[in-house]
Amino acid sequence: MSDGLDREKKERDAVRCVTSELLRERYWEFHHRSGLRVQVFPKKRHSCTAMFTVQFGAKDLAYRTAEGNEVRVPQGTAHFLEHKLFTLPDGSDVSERFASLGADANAWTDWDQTSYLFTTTEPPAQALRTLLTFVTHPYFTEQTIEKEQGIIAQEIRAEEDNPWERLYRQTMRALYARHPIRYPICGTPSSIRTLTPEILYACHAAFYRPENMTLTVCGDITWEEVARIADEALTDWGKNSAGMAGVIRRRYPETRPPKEKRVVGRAPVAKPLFSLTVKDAGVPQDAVGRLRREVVMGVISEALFSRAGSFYNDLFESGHVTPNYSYGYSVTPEIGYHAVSGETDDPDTVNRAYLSFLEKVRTEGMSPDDFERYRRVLYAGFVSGFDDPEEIADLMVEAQGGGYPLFERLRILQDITLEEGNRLLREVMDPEWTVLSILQSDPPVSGND
Amino acid sequence: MGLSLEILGKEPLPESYGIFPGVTLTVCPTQAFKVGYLSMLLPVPLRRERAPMYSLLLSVLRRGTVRYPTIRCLNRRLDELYATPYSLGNDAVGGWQCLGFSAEILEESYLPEKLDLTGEILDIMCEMLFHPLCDGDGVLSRHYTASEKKLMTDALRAIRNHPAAYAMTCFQEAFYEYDACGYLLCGSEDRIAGFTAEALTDVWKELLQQAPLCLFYVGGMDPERLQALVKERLGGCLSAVGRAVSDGEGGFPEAARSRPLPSPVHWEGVKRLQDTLEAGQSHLIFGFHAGVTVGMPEFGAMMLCNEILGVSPVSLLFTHVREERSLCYSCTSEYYIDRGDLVISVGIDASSRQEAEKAVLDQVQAIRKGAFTDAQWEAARRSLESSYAQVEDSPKAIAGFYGLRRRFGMEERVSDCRMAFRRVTREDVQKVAEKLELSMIYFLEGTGTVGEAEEEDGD
Repeated sequence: MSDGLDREKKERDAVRCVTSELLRERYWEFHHRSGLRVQVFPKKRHSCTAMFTVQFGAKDLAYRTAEGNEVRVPQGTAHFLEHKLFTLPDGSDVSERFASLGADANAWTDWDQTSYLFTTTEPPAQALRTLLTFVTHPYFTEQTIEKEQGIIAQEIRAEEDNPWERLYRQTMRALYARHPIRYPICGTPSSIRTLTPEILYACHAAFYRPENMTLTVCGDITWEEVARIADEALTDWGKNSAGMAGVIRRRYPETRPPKEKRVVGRAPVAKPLFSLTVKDAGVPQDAVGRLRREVVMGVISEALFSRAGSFYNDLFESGHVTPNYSYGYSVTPEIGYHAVSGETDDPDTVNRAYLSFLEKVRTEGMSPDDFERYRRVLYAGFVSGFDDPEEIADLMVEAQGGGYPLFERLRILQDITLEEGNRLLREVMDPEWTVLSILQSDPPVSGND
Repeated sequence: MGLSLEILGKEPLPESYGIFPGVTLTVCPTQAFKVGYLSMLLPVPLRRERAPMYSLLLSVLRRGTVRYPTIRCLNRRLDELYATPYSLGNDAVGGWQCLGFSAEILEESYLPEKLDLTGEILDIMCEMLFHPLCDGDGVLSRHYTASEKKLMTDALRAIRNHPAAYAMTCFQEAFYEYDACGYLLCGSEDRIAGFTAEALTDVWKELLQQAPLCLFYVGGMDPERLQALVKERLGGCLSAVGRAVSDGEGGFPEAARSRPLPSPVHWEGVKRLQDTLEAGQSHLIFGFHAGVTVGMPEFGAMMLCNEILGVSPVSLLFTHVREERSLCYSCTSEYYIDRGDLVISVGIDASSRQEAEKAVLDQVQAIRKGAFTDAQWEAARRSLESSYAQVEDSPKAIAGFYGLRRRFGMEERVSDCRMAFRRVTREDVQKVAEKLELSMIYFLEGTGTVGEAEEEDGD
């Protein structure tokens, strides 16, 4: 290795290769000299996916000025900024540039993160340069913001027309008193009308910083190639950030009791929709502990609520639920909840069945057979995610956002025990902390218990 | 630019084996994936009066079998088999309704135990198809039939929950009203109410005795081992229903090839339909007949025409209707390759209807005149090539690509398809765009008021 390359390599943190013998996969991770974290997962596929992720999402509703003052921003700012970064100073859309390189670009905003990505089946170097450049070079004007407001207003309308989305938001508002998960990711037509170039520039300066971002690449590419491209594209990035606005990681402390126990909303649905949600207030603050809780809760959720279980089948066979049914546990550093959702003619009967089922399984616990069966269900689900570059990149971004190593989930799956599962089942699935949320076409029934 | 397909060499075509008369196994052997794909499909002629009956039959077969009498037993077994994702196939393609099952199967080398997972899944497919739960008199379970009829009716009613899907369903029903095949595979409430378990049983028996059986596998299992497995699992089931189990012929069964679809009816002028629904957003849908289907010489040009118009990231609709005029969030076109039709759909504010209609039709006119930039042309070509290149990254997509082509009698590889797109010229696209004949405009007016998000308080 030449002196120059040697020096460059030393400038980065050590490059670390992470391997899973079970999956027969490995990836590399290192810190670029700007401070950006980089993950590269070589995979022999036609397509290559790259994601550039910032820890700035819909829950981030404030930033700190250079003087240390806290400034509030409107709902939907992170999502609006994501849309507007695609506009380049010459007025064109960066999607055109990606398209000319044979790449398909996209982006999404979640509660905690915003990701910009492309997928291509052509050599990805130039598209990767474009990705790194456009995300780090914002350009906002009043005219382009005004134009985007019309587009996002239609996106908001489309979401409002989705009854499952409305049920989810109604449920979150009943579950949480303070956390911004209560609000829509896109904001509201009125909140996005208050956005200005100044607000977007300030948020970009505060959050889009190397130490707050990650680059993830999966495809037929090496870490050395990605490192070289990052060096070329990010020459000055992050060097002038001293004294600029900064990130505020606001906590939204929540108590265990939900804000409301029963909520009913109105929507033109053919059959009432329901969500039965239990609030988990014991989410561990350490990343691996949180992942462990997510994995164990995943097994519990399958064992209790899968389509092979008695809860679903008793209700299905008696005609109380339809196959339009889902369940799962969600967790972030700040919130955790387990939800069962579906369609029914009689939400209160389903709720009664749910509450008595929880009492029963908390007493009896899961059987060893069920525990093993659903441990393998989760194993299969995880392994099958490693065929597709975009899915792998998603898993890596999720792991990075969660703060745990990518393959840790497999180790935990092998490690967890039935006793641990039953302990957590009794702790989390407590009928005391549940919310029944209903969306129906009849006029709303007032009746918060 | 991009990879040179000429120097890549051609990937092998999947091999088809005749297992028994009318039973074919097509195999794409590959070690590239952790999860393989297996489907078992029975193509039947798509007929308006039969389609919903077949849809109901499929749901009843999935409900319970002799060995697994309830859906709970079936689901538990599937969970034991590593929660193999399992789907009911029920598609209308090329004049056929393809009924059956498909599964994504974890490769043996990733299983923590020794288990013939593919064989187990094949067993379950055979169990559902040949041994569904029947009442004592040999009729398919009346209880399950009644229950599935109710669920089918509920699902029909629930289409209204999603305004965009409701608009598209109403449009397709009207657009294909001339077509004896129809479009809506689940029929209407009245039709469903008239189905009986006895009639369903007759349809099931006829299906077992007459329909070709097409299996498609993409994965790591040795083709010879798989052939033996299929013969072993299917042989007994077929002879029990009176079908021959002598050696079959190779190749795709002729009986399952695509059938010509009825010619579209040409209404006088453009047919306009309008409907209302309580929703915040309105939907405008345009239906064009072009008469260019997969396998025809202009197919590549039509694919590119669709891409430039409403699919690529810099499509005419995206650029001029969404980005320039801010009229919508979603504005796309879709090419129905087996019917030769093109459909454009836009989600808009009701007050923008006239402006949106003009803007959309302007883009169709633009493509006919060749008024698209070199950048849009190049982007469309690359986007299309890229989407085809990605087919080879997914076992399910590989099965979909080759399954469709076999049905149309085409021996075409993914790389052939990509090469064909490269030969298309701008003039070819203009020429094929001239064939786009606007036939119907459907408008679903959302009559809802401002949604709840507008009233949401800030924090």
